[in-house]
Amino acid sequence: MGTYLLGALFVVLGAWVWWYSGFFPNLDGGYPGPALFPRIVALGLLLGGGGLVFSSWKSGQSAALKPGSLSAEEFRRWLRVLAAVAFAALVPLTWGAFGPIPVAVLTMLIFGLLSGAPFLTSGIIAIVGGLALYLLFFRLLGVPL
Amino acid sequence: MNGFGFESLVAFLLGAVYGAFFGSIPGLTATLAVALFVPVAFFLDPAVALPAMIAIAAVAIFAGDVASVVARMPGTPASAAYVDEIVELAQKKGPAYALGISAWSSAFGGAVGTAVLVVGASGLAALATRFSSFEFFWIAVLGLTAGVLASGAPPLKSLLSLLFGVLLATVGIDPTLGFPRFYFGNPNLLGGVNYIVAMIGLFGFAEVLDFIHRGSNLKAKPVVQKQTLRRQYFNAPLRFIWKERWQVLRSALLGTFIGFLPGAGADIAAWVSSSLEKLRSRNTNPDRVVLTGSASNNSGIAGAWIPALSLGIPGDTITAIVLGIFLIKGITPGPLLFQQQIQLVWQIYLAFAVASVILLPLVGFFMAGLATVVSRIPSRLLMGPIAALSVVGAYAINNNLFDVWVMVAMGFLGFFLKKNGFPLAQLVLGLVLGPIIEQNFMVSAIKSRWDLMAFFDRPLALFLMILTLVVLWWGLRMQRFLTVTLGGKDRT
Repeated sequence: MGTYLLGALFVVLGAWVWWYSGFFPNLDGGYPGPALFPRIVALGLLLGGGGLVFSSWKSGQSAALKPGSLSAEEFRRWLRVLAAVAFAALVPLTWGAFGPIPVAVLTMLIFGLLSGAPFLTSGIIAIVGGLALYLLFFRLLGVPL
Repeated sequence: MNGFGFESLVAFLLGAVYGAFFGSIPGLTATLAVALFVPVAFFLDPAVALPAMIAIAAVAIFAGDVASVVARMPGTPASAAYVDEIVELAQKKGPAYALGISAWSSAFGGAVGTAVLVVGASGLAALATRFSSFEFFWIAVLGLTAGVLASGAPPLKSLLSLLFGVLLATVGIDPTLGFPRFYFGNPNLLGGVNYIVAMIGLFGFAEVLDFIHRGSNLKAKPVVQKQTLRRQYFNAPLRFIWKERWQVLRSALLGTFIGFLPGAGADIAAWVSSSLEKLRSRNTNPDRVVLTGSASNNSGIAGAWIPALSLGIPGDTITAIVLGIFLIKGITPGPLLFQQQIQLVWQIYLAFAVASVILLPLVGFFMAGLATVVSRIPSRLLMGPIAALSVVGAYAINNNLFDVWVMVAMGFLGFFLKKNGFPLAQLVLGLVLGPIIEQNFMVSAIKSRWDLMAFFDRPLALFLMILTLVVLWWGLRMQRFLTVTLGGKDRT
């Protein structure tokens, strides 16, 4: 994404934290309370993020940020990452419906495939791994899966 | 001095296997291992239960490094302090060498910690009682200062990573008024961001995403496997540790010192000492960083027992559990313990000595062999199991599915930050030390009625503040040196 944009994101985050912590109460006598540390952090984010924006602007990085600069290969890679994140984010939603072990097996299979492992090998690893997770967490550690 | 009975020995060895198992699985900590052992310890004689607990803690803390080497996912928070360095070592010189450095440093660190425990328990415990919130505040600031300057990444990016970690640590109930912050109406966030869940995401899941992004066409770095396992594990690490014996001693003493501070423990010991070493060596010597971190975290375990035995004050969460066992068994820690239960005290000392000098190197050798075998498996075949272990491990900590989302979010964040050159260890450092700084600052400020000069009044606090300034001055000099050396290269 580039240092320039990340710096700008940190500035926005810092500004938001500063604004949001303004709603936190003070201690008796007007002394700073729960807002103090978030505000110190917000100030650091504003200054640090601003520093990043400034240094990348000075080094000319911002000029390199043009739309369409992402290659097709890079785009596919990001798509794979986003698919992996989306799948993992769906896991808690499917946990109750399918059961944790089938979901863990599916997770292993999908992530194996996304990592470039052959289908058959991924499948075998997923089944053996699922069994190992079941024995380890459910049987041995008593985690209520 | 009373030796081990047969039952004690068996419990000790079983405790070591159990600790190795827990420590090497991300999400399962040494504390959890000891906590789950309590129902068993309840039925055992203290002379059997305590050596087992010592073996569990010592081996679990070491075994955290095994997960780092195999999956780049630290098994325990103490191992997260030098995860990048131990992974680099494993890739360059082989997993057996990396675990050799870790196990032998842990062994020597543990031995030094034990020696301090035996010789100076009562004297050091008296010093620990003089630590108030002012000193704790400064020691956490020292850790953060060293952490920012020691990462090897551009200082601005280190600072932002660290601040982001501190910001995440402010989520949940604040320590002053109990006011809920940044929880957006979600009760799952009231307890804050669990840093073990965050660590699984940042180091484990982020690594999987990174691998997926790089693609399977990327060739893995060849692992050096020219030497036999025995030579890799014993010869080279022992030679290195002998060469760096004073560094081991310094790290172990620092680890013991931090370990005996109530509430600090092995994790903080590893973070502070490895950050200082990264700063000192300008982050160019991963062997020394691993050596320093491993020696500190294991000596920190022994250090935590000093106030526990002498004063009944827990040095860390493990000794807090141990004190609970003392209570159940009707044992009173403190000066009376040394008068009435001296045999038990010696048995604890002996358990520490045997765990450090014999158990850790042996368990380390076995695990180095295992890690060497696992490291031969192509990475793409390990990514599925690592992803599933991250998901199940995050869930298993609190049996809460929300933690899985936190883990995924932290994983994506970690991947994104790492791609852009932000160090992840500093983020975890902020998460770990942030609450300590805030809590101790607020307690001190309220105690002194917001007279900020009180932070410099106490001699120990003043000493720690001066030490922080020295580290800051030294770190900035190092940064300037790096800027001059690297010339026009990016040192944002």
